[in-house]
Amino acid sequence: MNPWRATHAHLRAVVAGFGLLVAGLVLGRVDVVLLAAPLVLVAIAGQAARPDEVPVGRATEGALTVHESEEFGWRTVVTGMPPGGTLAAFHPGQRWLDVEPEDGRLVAAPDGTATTDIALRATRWGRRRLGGPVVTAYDAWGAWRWTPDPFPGLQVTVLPATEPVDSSAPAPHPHGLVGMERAGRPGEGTEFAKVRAFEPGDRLRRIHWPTSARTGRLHVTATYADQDAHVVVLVDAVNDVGDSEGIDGVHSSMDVTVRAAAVLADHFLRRGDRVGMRVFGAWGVSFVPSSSGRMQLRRLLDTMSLIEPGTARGEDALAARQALGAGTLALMLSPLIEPASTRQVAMLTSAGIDVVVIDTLPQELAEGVGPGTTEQEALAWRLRMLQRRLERDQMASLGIPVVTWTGPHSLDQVLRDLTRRSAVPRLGRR
Amino acid sequence: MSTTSGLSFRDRQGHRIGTLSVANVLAWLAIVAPVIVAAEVIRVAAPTSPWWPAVVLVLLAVAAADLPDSMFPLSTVLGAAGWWIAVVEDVRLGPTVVVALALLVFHVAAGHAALGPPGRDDDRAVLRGVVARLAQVGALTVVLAAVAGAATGRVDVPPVALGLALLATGALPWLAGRWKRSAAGH
Repeated sequence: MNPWRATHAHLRAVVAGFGLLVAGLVLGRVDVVLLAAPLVLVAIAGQAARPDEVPVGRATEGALTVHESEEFGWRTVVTGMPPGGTLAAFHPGQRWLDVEPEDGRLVAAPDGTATTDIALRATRWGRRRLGGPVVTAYDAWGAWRWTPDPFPGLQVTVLPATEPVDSSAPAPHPHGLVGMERAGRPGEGTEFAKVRAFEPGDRLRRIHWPTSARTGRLHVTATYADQDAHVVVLVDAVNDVGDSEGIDGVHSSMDVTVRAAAVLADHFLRRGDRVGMRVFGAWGVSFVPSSSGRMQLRRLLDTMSLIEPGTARGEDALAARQALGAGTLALMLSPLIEPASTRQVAMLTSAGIDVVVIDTLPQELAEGVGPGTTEQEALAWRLRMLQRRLERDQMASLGIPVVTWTGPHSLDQVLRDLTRRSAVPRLGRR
Repeated sequence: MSTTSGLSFRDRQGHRIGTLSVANVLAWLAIVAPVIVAAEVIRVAAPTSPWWPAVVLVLLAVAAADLPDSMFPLSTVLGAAGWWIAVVEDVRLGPTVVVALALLVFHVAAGHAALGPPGRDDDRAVLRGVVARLAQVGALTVVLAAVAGAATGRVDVPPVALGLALLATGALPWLAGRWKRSAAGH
């Protein structure tokens, strides 16, 4: 059976053209026959152009991974088109997806093959299946159409955007064997510490000849060890406050949290540190063990893209401590809406873990009327914001740094302060 | 990446209601303007005709521009032709050709608009093809009208003869196509 179907245009040309022709003949009016003439010609040409061959369509399908704001494409290639035929392709838009051209594309098939490219751009992190695109082929006269079975939509994993951080602040408590951090103790490294007398075991290439010649005794150049830091990013995904319009528009608290986590993970991994992640409040993702390198960044970003906020509530506050030892730098990213996050911070601090709380509630929500629509909701939001301010002040009075995330440089001063503080001996409850 | 090629109208949820672009306006005009021209020609050719059929025709054309893949374009063509048949008595060649070409342009423009969603991005090659086919059919119509006009008064051209000539003219490319396909098949 021929899969090509007549279009409304062809039916119109046939009905109006031949109808008028018959009317002109019956009435004996040449003018009516002349009115019918172009439509009859188009109808006959359309009928003559009816295609027999069934086209074959192929389109981009499967799964792909992109970063937020990164462009990718959807391509269709249809072969076996009739001569002079056209192909209409349309990719449906959806939330957090830009499509260009938004209304589809109509392309010619000069040699029987039509190719359409539609540009797509994901504007928010996450994993989603895109809507099914549609194509329709027409013959040269637009009299016949062929529509293939719908193509499956693409499965897209959108990783949160990372931007480079130009931060020179060191991380406190460096550990391990490799990394870019200057350790607190002397050892093999590149950072100059002092010139001291030679001791058995010192490498000969460390001998400082000018001092040795002046004093008559061998001296060596001592360095600080190059070591890495253990950083754990704690993501509070219990609530997603506010509306999200993607990377170019208004950000929700979860947007700010995930993008900040991505930036921080990228920053510390670039420095050679070990970074792990713990997510609270999202079902299916909870913990990524610490490691270093580019693969770890990809692992972390993949995990972040799977976060579905608010799908796992009521987790034990002690869970935050698992796999964290003293000396770990914990970066707690939270909108500080849920009181449980404050309890977790207190628990981590009492365990001797350096915690930096990064407030990810968008500024317009913290200062505005909140996400509610009624007067009562606005009042409730205002009360919660007052409590939240009190909790922030209490944390600050306990020496826990609380930073509002305003970009990659928000942490610089805090990390410097922590490094200075970590050089001072102190007691911690284990 | 720009997501629209014109002025986009959206509701409060961000869903697009419509796009206003130069291409959209031209496509709309290509559908509505021929009907306005045809209505004006009919009104001039039949001055005693009532005014309301013109309004109905234009409204039908506007509806056809919004829904080109529907019965509105057929209704518009039949409405215009019916009005012509009903009111035009003093038939002249010029107005007839103008109305015939206007209906052709309307039909082709509506057919082209129906090839996909409104506001889509059209290749220039597609537009060139549409214009070329429009020009071919328009030229054939003018030739037929010229033959009919030249014969009027000299020989008595019965409409049947003109109809048969028209069918023969249209059948030629069809026969040629069939012959070409059967030759390719063998």
